Amino acid sequence: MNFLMKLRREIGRLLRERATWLFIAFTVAGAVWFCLNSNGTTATDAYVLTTAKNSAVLGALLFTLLTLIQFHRDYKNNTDTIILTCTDPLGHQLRRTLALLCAAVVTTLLVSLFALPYALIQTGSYFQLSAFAAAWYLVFFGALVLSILLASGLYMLLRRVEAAFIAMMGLITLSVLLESMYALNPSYQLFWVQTNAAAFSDLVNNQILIDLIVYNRLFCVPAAAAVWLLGLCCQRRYGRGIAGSFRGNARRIWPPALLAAVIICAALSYACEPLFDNSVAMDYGIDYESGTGMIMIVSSDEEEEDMAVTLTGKTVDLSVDTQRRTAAGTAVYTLQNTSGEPQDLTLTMNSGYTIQSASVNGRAVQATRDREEVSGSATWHIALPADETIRLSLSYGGRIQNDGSLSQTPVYGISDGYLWLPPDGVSPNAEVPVAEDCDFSARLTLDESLIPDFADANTQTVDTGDGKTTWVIKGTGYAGTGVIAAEYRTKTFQAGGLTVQLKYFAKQTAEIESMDAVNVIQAALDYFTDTYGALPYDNALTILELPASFSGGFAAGNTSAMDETCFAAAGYLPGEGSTPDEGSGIDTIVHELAHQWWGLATYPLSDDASWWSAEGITCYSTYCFMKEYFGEAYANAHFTDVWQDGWETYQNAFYVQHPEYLSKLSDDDASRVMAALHSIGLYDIMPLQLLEAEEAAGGQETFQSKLADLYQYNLCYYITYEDFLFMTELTEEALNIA
Amino acid sequence: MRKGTIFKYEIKQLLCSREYLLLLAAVIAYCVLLLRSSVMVGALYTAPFSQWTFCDYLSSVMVLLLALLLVLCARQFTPARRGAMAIIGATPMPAPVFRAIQYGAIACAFGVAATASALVCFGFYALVFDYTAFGGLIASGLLLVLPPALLALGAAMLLGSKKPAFVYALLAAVLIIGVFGVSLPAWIDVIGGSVTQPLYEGVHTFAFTPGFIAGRIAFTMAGITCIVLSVRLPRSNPPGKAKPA
Amino acid sequence: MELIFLKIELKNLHKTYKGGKAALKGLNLTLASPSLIGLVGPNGAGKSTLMKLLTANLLPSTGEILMDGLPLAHKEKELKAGLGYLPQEFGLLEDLTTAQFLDYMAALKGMDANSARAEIDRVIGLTHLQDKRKAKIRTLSGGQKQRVGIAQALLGAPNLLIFDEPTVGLDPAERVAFRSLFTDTAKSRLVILSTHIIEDVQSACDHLIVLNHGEVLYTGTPDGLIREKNTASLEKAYMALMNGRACA
Repeated sequence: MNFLMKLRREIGRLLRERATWLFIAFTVAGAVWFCLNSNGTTATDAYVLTTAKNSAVLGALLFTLLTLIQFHRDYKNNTDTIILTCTDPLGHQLRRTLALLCAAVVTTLLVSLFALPYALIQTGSYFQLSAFAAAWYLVFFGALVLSILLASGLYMLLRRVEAAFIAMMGLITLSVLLESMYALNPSYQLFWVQTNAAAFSDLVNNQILIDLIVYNRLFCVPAAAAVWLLGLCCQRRYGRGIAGSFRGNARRIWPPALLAAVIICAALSYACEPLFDNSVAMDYGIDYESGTGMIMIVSSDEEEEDMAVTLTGKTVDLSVDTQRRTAAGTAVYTLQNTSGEPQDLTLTMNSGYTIQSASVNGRAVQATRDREEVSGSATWHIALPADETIRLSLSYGGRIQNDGSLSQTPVYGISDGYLWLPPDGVSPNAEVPVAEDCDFSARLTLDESLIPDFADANTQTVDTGDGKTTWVIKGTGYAGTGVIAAEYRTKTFQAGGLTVQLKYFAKQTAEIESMDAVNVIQAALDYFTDTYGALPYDNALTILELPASFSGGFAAGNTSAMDETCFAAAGYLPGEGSTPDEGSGIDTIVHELAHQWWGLATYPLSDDASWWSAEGITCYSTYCFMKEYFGEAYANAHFTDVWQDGWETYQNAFYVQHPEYLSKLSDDDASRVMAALHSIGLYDIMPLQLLEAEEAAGGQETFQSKLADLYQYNLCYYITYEDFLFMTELTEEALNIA
Repeated sequence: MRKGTIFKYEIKQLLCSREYLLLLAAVIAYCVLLLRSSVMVGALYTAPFSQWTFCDYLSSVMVLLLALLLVLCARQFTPARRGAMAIIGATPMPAPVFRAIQYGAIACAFGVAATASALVCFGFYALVFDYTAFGGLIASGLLLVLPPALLALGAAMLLGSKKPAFVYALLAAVLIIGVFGVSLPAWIDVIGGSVTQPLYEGVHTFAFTPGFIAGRIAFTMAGITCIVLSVRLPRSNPPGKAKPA
Repeated sequence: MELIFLKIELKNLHKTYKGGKAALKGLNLTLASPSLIGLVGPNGAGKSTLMKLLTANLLPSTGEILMDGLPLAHKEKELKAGLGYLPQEFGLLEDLTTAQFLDYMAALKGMDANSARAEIDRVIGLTHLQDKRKAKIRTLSGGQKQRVGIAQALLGAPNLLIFDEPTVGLDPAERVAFRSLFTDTAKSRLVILSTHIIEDVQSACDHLIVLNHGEVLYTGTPDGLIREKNTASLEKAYMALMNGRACA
C-alpha cells in the first residue's frame, strides 16, 4: 500500500473517531461564541479580527490536546510495538500529522460557514475579503497548524505526553502574555498563536497589518516545522536515546536535510523580515508613557552654524509601487561648501531604503552606510569635494521600514489603499543647515485613487495619466516632507479664519455627511481662534483621518490627525457603541485641534518641577470649549470629574505619600513607577490647576484673555511654566489644588 | 501501619516528578516577573505590600497554581498508577486511609508551590522595601488560595475516579479562564481576580466582599464534601484491566 | 517459616457480571494449606474472577466463601493482613527504586520499619534483585518488573499467596527458580497459582483445579488427571479433559 493510500486510511480513521469530532465541535462552538461576544474598536476588528484571534487561542489549546492524544494513543494502548514493526515509523508519524492537519482544514471550513456570513452581515459595506481571509485563514488556521506541528514535534522529542503538554501550555500562554509586555517590545514574529495585529480598519485596506500577519506566519511555520522535523529525526528507534535515534534516522537524507532547510528558512525569515529595522532603543519612556506623543527635538543651532555646507536646493522625484510595496526615486541636492575643503556629508534615510547610485558634480561617488540604525533611519556618508557649489544626485529606493525599537506595530508602510511615508521615506535628509531661501520641490507618483496629504507642504498641483497621478509640491525654506495617502475625500469649510480641509476616507462619506462632527470641528476652531488668536498658517488647516491601527491622534505642522474611531457613528460597534457626541471620539478630535494652539503654534515646555506641558493646557482648552458647546454637565462628566478622580488617585498613590520608598528602587524601576503617575500629572492635575488658576485670575473670561496674551506673545516659541505664571500674574501657590 | 512512610513516598514521587518541577519553575519565574512589574508599581498605585497588591499578585499566580494542582491530581489516574492500585488494593491498608494519605501528599506538594510563591513575594518585600509585617497578608492569601484549591482537589479526585479525562477537562477550564482573562463574579471567582474590583470602583479600605467570602465558604464546603466522598466511596476496578477470565 | 493452617471453602459460588455473563457457576472447592494449588483453564474460564473473589476485590453473586469457617466478607481485614497477591496485570510506582517500592508496600502491609528492612532484604534475595535494589523501577525490564511484583507479594511471609500468571516475562531459568520458590513457600503456606504454563503446574503443584466456562472440570492431583485420562503427559490429559474425552 503506497503512502497516499495509507494517508487516506489514516485521515479516514481520524475523522471517524468521536473524540476528533468532539474537539472539532468545541473549537467551532468556541469560534461561534466569540463571534457573538466579541468587541473591538471597529466593525472589522470586532467581528473579524478579534474573533479570529480569540478563536485561534482556543483552537491552539484544543488542537494541542487532540494532537497529543493522537500521538500518545499507540504508546498508551501498547500498540506502538506492533504498529511500528509493520510500517515505517517516520512515515507513520508523517501521515498522522497530515491527518491532523486535514482535521484542522475541516475545522476551519466549518467555522467559515458561520463566520463568513456573520462578518458579511455585521460589517456590511465595510467587509473586506482580504481582512477576513487574513484573520481566519492565516491567524486562526495558522494557529491550528502551528499547534499541531509544535505539539507533535515536542511529543516525539520529549516522549512524555505530560511534558509536551506543559511545554505547549507554556508556549500558548507566552504568546498571549507577550501582548501585555510592552516594556520588553517582543518581536511580532513571536506571537505565534494570535499574532499582534490589532485594530483592523473598516475604511482602508489593511494590507500593512496583513503583511504583519504574513511575515509572522512566514517565520512561525518553518520554526514549527523545524521542531516537528527535529522530533521526527529523534523518533526513538532501536532502543536508542535521542542522539542515537537521530543518527539512525539521519541515514535517510531527507529528514535532516529538510530540518536544515527549514531552520535556515526560519532564521532567514526572522532576520530578513522587511517590516521593522534594528534601530537602537532611545529613551522615549517619559514622553510616550505620559501619552503626549509629542517629542520635542531640539536641534543645536550652534552646531549647525559651524557646519560649512548648506543646502540651497533640493528636488525629489519619487514613484510608489503599491503592488510591490516599494518606492524608488531620485533626489538632487544643491549644496554650498564655504570651507574650501572636502567635507563628509551625512544623510539620513529610512532603514528600508538603499542608495543605489550617487554622483557629485557628475562624478560617481560611493555612499557608505553606518551599521547602527536610529529611530527608523539609517545614516549614510558621502564624501563631498572642496568645490563651492556641489550638485549631489542620488537614486534610492526600497521597502519602507518601521522603527523596531519603539513598537512592533507598523505605522509606516505602502499598500494599494493607503500609505504613509515619513520625511526620510520620501527622500534622504541631508544633515546640514537649510538655507532660508532653499527651494524644495518634489514629484510624487501614486496610484490614481490615492490622495496624498503632505506634512509641511505649501502647494500641490496634479498631473494624471496611465492610472497614476503625479503630485508636485514646492516650497521654500525646508527640505523634506512626509506623506500620507489614501482614498481621501475632502470637505472644505471656513473656520477660525482658515480654510479647513477635513480629509476623510471615501468609505465614510455618508456618515461624515450626516454626523455632527463637522459642526463641532467648525465650532471648536472658531472658538479657539476667537479665544486665543489665529493660527499662524497661510494655507489650509488639515484635519486628517487615520486608520484605526494608529490608535489615537497627533498634531504636526498644519495637520491634526485622529483615527477613524473618533468619527464613529452611533450603533456602529457591538455593545454600547459611541457617537461623536457621547464618547471619547469627539473629545479626541477637539483635543487634537486644541494642540494646534498649544503644542504646534506654541511649544509649552515641560520641566521637572511642575506638571506644565502642552497636554495640560490643551485639556483645559478642550474642556472650556466642550462646556460651551455641550453644556456644563457634559464637560463635568467627561473632564472635571475625570480629572478629580485622577487627582484623588494621585494623592492616594503610595509612592506619592511615601516618596522614601522610591529611593529603595533602582533608577530604572523608579522611573517606570513614576511614569505612570506622570501621565496623571499631565492630563489630570495640570488641568485642575488651571481651573484653580482660572478662579484665582478672576473667572474664565479673564483667565482666557491672559492665555490669549500668552499665546500671541509666544507664537512659534517656547512657553515655560514661568512664562505662564508671569503672563497670568499668578504664583505657584495660587495653582495649588491640595 | 507506617503512614508516615507511605506519605513520604507519595510526596517524594510528586515533588521529584518532571511535571511538578517544570511547573514549579514556571510558577516561580512568573512570580518574579509579576514582582518586577505589577507588584512593584502596586495595584492602582497602592503600596506594593498592600493587601490589594498582594491579592492581585496571588490571583495572577492562581491559574498556574491550580494547573499545577490538577496536573498532580491527573498523575493519580495514569495507567501505571491505576495498575499499581491492583496490588495496593490487596493490602490491609484501608482504602479511605490510603486515599487520605494520597490527597495529603498532593495537598502538601501544592502547598510547597503556593508557599514558594508567597515566600518569593515576602522576600521581595523584605529585600526591596524592608517590609516584614506579613501577618495580615498571610491571612488574606490563605482565604484567596485555599478554598479554590480544596474544591479543585476534591472535584478532580472525585471526577477523576469516574473518568480520568474529567481532570483534564478541569485543567482546560482553568487554563481557558486564565488565558482569556474571563472575569467571574465574586461568588464563583476561583482565580480571585474580583478581589481588587472594589479598588477600581473607588473603595480604598481593603476588605473582601460578602459575595467573595460566601463563595470561599461554598468552595471550602464543596471541596471538603468532594474530598470526603472521594475518599470514602468505593472505586471500580481499574478500567481496561479487569476482563473476566 | 512456621507452618500456617488456612482453609478456604467455596460453597456453591456464582459470579455473574452486568450484562448477564456468568463467570463462575456453582463452584464448590476446598483450598487448604499447606499446598501449592495450580489453577488452569482456557481464556475466559473464570480464573481471574476466582482470584478476585478470593482477594475480596469482588463479591460473589450467590454462594459464599468461608475462611477458616467464617465468611470472607467478615474477615476481609484479616485476609488482607496475610495476603500476598500478584494479579495478571499490574503496575508499579515507576519513580521509586526497587527497595523504595518494597518499603512502600511493606508499610502498606503494616510492617514496622525494622521488620520491613529485614523482609525487603529477604525477598530481594529470593527474587534475585540484588543488583537492581537501587535502580528506578522505570529502568527495569519486563521480567525484572515481574520479579518486583513477586517480591512485593512475598513481603511479610503472608499466609495466602495468590499468583496470577506470575512467570510471564521470565526466562526458563528464572521460571524454574520461581517454581522452586513457590514450592518451598507452599510447604508452610497456601499458594494458589493461576497459569497457562502446564510445566509450572506439573512440576510444582500438588493440587490441580481445571476451570472451563466457570465450572470445575477437575480437582485433584496432576498425576491423578494423567491417570484418569490415561495419557503420557499432563498436557495431553488437560487437552483430553478440554475436549471432553474420557481418555487420550
